[in-house]
Amino acid sequence: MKRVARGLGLGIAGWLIGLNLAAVIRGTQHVNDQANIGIAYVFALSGWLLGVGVWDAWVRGWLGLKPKAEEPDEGWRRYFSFCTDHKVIGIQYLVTFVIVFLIAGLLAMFMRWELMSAGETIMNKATFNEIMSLHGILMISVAVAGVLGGFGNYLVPLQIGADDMAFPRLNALSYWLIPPVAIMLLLAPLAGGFDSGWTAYPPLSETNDVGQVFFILAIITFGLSSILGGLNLLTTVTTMRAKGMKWSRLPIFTWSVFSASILSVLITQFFAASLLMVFLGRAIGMGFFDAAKGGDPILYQHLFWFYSHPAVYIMILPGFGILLEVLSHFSRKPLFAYKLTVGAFLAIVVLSVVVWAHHMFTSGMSNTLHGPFMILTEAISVPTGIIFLSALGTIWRGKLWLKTPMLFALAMVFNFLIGGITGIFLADVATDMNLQDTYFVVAHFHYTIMGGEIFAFFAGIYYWYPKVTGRMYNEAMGKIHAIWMFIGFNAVFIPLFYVGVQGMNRRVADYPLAYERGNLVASISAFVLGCSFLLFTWNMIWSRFKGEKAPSNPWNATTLEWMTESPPPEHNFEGTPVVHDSPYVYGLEDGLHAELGEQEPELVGAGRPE
Amino acid sequence: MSKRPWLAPAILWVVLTGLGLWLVTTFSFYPPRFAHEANVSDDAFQLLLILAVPVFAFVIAMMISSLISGKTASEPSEDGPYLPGNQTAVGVWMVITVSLTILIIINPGLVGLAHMRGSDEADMVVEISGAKWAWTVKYPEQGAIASKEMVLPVHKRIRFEVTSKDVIHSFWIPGFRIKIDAVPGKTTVTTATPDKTGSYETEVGLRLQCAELCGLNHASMMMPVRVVEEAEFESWIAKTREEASKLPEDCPTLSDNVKISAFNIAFDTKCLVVPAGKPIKVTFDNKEAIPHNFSIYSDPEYENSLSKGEIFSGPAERSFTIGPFEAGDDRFQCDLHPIPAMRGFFVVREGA
Ligand SMILES: [Cu+2]
Ligand SMILES: [Cu+2]
Repeated sequence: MKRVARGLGLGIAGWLIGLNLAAVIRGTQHVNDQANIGIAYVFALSGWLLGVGVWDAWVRGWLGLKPKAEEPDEGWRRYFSFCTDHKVIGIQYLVTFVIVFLIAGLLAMFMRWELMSAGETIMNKATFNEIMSLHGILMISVAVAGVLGGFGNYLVPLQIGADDMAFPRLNALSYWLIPPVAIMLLLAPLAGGFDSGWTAYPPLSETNDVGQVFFILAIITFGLSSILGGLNLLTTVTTMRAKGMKWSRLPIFTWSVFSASILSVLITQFFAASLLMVFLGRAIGMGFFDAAKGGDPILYQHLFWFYSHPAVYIMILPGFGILLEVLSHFSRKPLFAYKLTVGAFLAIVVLSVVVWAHHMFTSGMSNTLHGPFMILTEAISVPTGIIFLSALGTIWRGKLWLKTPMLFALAMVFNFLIGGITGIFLADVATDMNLQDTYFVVAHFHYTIMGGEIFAFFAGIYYWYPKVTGRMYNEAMGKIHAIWMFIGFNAVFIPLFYVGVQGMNRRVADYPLAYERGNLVASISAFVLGCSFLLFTWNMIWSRFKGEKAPSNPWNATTLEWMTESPPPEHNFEGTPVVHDSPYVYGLEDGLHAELGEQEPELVGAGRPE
Repeated sequence: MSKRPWLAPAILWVVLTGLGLWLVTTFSFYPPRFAHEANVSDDAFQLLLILAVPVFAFVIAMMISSLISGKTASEPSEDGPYLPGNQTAVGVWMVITVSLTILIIINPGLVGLAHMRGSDEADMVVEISGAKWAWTVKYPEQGAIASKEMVLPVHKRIRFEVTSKDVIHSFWIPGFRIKIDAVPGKTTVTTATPDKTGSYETEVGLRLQCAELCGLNHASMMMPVRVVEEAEFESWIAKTREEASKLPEDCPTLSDNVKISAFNIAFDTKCLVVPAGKPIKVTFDNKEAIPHNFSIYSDPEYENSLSKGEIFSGPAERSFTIGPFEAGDDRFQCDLHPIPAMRGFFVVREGA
């Protein structure tokens, strides 16, 4: 708490110092000078980070100062400190991104309210464009970091039998980079907001209000956090596995996090770099994307989608991981075709970086690019198909225990099936020429990201809730939430496919009267969907305090996180995990994934590979 | 467990596939088509839909039958069978998914691509220019310009040459199913062959809609489209040209101090009359948050520039001095929106 206050103080001080220093040195007076804002932000971010923990965790050591005695934070205060425990950081991510999800969801409700009928209803076009853009980027951040940062941090060390992440301090830093992102995005409306969507295509993003600069600075920071987080997860999985935890014995969720992290580390900088180029264009007139200065607006789209297409796999791969994990444990059956599925994850990682231009079939890019990108994009249906094979093979003849996580997982199979199939229509040039930038696209990516990843996210929340909080959630409320959210979600987005095919384009504050009926249905359903999250929120808060005490393994699941108390002790395991077999040993007389061995002195706190 | 566990899902799959195929072939949800390209696009859509039905039905059949045979509300007392894989199932699955993928890559994939993007040859060229937040349509071969509606002759292959004056817009006619971005600094090309007459008043798909987010009024960056018989097209062109060259009857009296204002992407006057050989004071009131300027040209093609005005966004008023000019029927326009509503006569007279 003290550190957060110190970080905020130093952050604000840094902002003011940077702004004035830049103004004096550059001889500019104007408050809105964009270069000055950029410089001020660097000062503010440094101040925030130093105050919140970087000074104590790193800088004192570099300067040869005496390390400061750790003030042991207790209870809830731990969550407001530069805590290096991966479980605390996981919870910090989870709570932060659930809150961001609810805020961005609320913005979506306002958009659906405005779009309920043709004509201006509750807001003008400027406000709509800003709300739409803010909704987009907030949800993107939830999708990128909610599962990976939240569950990745909390569960990967537990699933591989480690006592923490490879770089605990770096892990804390990755999290504490997030609050400035949220602050900048939410403060942007004070500087005119940004109305260029989450895609921020120049020249629009180079000529709109100063709020766009806030967006750019926030997203570059967010990218830094993603890269550091991904690096940490990769190193952790590579070097911190318990004795006997071969690559072929990794739980599928850990594999999915590992695959997504490869992408995080390799591609995030392309988004950051393209936004930096937009910033330089705005602030000092560098014309990377300005045709009049020899630049090319389409170049931005190549750079942007080089990140942003694989980014959807950063989002969905961990979703697949949760899905398959839940399906196996709640069907009491081994994960079907485990090795092939891991191969599919890795094939997706490779293919995902060579398909980006399918977002650009109508951009005016060279005609020679259409064929190759269409072929490569459609080739992704093969590894994606393998994931369906694994899911179906796993539930086939299983004993399906219909708990809340299982309901969400089954719902996700249905949703992602629709999301995947409609993706083909957008990968095909002849249909995409018409469907690009229509509501068909909106419905499609909501089916993959919300219907897919976010449903998996909720499956994960209910699945691991007992482990994380030590309490059981309310099962009846959980099941009602799952069914309610499933029906509400489909009732919103099926009509949007329809209005898209009928010819309604996306990102519009208004539309021709002909599309009113489908929009009305979608809007009413959106309120139904929105209300389901009230039930969820209540269940989470109520159960945290009043829920039944959770046993260490309420689901009778096999993976290592269920072999320790709920919640796990600070060093994760009482004893040294030793892995004997695959995690999915259902249906075997003598199946044993792992056990906790004696506390061997030379192995304490290590869990290094054999 | 029955001896034939696959029988129930197989029957369910056949039933669901049949039902699905009946649905997608009986109910057509495509909006009306007005061009050859629309048929290509909708045929591709329909083919993909038909191929998707058995795939969708298979997943649903497997889920439903697994649920019916295996669901329990309380914790299962025993595990399911140890089935970590099955070579035959995996092999069949791979063969089917790879074949389907190759099939859709060839048709509708590459076949559709060849249709939509095969050649830029055309009977007629139409130049499209987007600027926040209006379209200008120029018929270079006919020498006409339109800004209120785009009129096209039926059964002619038309090449649209598209560009933008500011940010990226996108040229989309839903009834034609074609779309291409309008990119500043370059000309992008798409073709369409309208094959049915109609107009926006009755067909919402006949509109030129901006499909790429372009700022404030993106949603209303739209122009009605009308497809007509060739004779009607010719007479419309003639009428448009005549209107553009006719000096309005209500030209104001001569003055060297002129006022002009812009609102709703239109100037408030079609005609200004100024004295020759004298500097002219112009007061330009831009009443909206859309950038405009005020430039003078000596010819009706707006190619020979006599004075370029500063581009600025409103609401703001600027005064500046231009000229002096020689006597003649000059023209003025907003260079960002070279549409009839932002064009007019700049008549320079001797004497007085
Ligand atoms: Cu536009
Ligand atoms: Cu103008």
